[in-house]
Amino acid sequence: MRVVWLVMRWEYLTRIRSKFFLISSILMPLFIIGLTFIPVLLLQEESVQGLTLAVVDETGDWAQRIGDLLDERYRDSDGQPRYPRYSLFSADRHGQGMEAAALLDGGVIDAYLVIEPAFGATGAVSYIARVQGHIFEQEQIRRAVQRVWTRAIFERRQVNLALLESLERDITWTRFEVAGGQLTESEQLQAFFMPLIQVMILFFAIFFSSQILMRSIILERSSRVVELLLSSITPQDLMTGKILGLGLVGLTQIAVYFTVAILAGGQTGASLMTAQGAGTFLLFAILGYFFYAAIYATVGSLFETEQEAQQVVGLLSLIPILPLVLSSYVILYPDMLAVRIASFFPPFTPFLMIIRLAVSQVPWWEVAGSALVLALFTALMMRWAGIVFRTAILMYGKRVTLPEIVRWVRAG
Amino acid sequence: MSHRFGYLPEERGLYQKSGLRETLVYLTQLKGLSRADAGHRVDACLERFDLQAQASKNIQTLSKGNQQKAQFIAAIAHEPEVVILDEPFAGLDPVNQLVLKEVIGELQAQGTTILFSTHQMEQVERLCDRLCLIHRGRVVLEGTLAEVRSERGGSCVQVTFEGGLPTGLDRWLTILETKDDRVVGSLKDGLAPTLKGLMDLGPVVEFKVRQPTLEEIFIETVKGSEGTLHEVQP
Repeated sequence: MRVVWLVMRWEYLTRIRSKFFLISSILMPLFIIGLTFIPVLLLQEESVQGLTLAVVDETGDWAQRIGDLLDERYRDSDGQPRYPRYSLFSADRHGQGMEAAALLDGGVIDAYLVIEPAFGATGAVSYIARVQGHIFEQEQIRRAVQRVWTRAIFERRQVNLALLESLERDITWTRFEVAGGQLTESEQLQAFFMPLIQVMILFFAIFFSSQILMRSIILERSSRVVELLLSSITPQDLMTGKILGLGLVGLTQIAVYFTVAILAGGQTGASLMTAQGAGTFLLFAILGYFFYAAIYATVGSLFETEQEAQQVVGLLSLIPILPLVLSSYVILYPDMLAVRIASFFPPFTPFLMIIRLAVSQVPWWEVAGSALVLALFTALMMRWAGIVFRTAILMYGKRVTLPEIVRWVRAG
Repeated sequence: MSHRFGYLPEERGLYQKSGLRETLVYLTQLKGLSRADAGHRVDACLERFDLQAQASKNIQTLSKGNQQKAQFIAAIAHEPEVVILDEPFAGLDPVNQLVLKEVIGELQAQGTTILFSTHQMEQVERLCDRLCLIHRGRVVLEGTLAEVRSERGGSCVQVTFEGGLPTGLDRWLTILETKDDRVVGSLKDGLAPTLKGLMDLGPVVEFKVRQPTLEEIFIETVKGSEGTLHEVQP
């Protein structure tokens, strides 16, 4: 036990004092924040740029009404209309179309609308643009055209316009989250992104530590330091000490990331998780780390260079990337049957459960059950890793095959 | 148990990015010593090997010779009863070889058992009390240096021919070394029939029975055991 502590202490202090740790502790949170928030901020409705428009309309009446509504509803902070329009002077529809296409080609306008002759009855409008992005801009224009069309119908049927204005008013929508009988108001953005941040912190912490673990084992093998170590301690003690030491590095990393996230969140009033949430997060983070550490320690003991190990690591990394890719979906549907079943699949458990616990009230038996399954598989993986590690660690100049590994594990 | 052994592997390596002293203290602690005791022993060794100035430096900044000395310290700092040294002089310059020999001598004087593995026979002659020759996983020679010499010593001859070496020498000798018109070999038959046989091959100007060096004993023994091995192979 003493030597396990010594190895653990050595691994922890060596990594924590390295420049790589310091740099990654600062850069990784920035990277996570950047990766999560920058695309979102760029896609915020408030950040829409506005477009220069032309409207092809035989009557000119629709164009006028649409233009007036756009000017009324959408203006930039400096008071300028967000959708300046380019007037078309040609009297005939065909000529107007040609003129608009030429303006679009010449870059004078960004897009143009073609109001079909039967628009009043059918509501048919075409939007023609060089770039088919501008999702928010298109939506604002579409809403304006929709309102103009609805108003026209009300006018034609001589329905009271005040009624329409009442109908067009937005309702007040407040979100509450219920936990332990308590209602708390929650922000939509926060509810969506906090679980994402949590799962990304977990992903990076687990893989940061596991990768270091694997690299450190490979380095000790290639530099033959392992021969020196194993003249003093058993392979089992060495592996346990390394896994624990680097696990502690991972926890330190998580603490740093959370501190950064809380400091960043504090400014906007966002809180990352409750105390109870922190407990379950740690439970799944620790079990998840041990599960993956056992796999990476095994891989490390099988190869003499990092390049040789890289192919296997590439394939292994695909497994946890899958729940990460699906995390936005899991946030939207945390209680779907497929998600609930996948939560019991050990490689996915830590990631899926952390998301589900952050966005939904997961029944206690699912939390306990999935943690138990993960713990059992982790114990099994650690046992297998121990067997492979002690057999392969001093095996040089020979590529170990999968049937050999299976034979070792069976022999125990 | 492990604290009773010290091991210097043939292929060496230490944590390149860690400090010299802290690495040695860690490795010595793994042998069962407290942090304080390990620190004292390592400091004494660093002083003995003239490495105190490098104590806080990263191992990768040390010269190859100094790294070898550091590795040697890792094997002996905990004062083991048995030290296994695998080619300890490989890659060391003559000055550092001398230091290492002195330290090995000191360990011997303290009663430490040293298991010394090497292919350099002159080092074995100079340093070892007992030797054991392993060839293809089998012990083919064993005993003190005196025992080995007395067992094999009389059978080695040095013969000089006039006008160059004749052919057919291997009928009478296991050839260990040839130079110009001189051959050194071990006898395959008695002394008198061998001398007669060699004189039949060409004019012998010198025939000297001498004690073989350990290297010559090694070559002869290995060549002899290879014949035996070939015979038992299917």
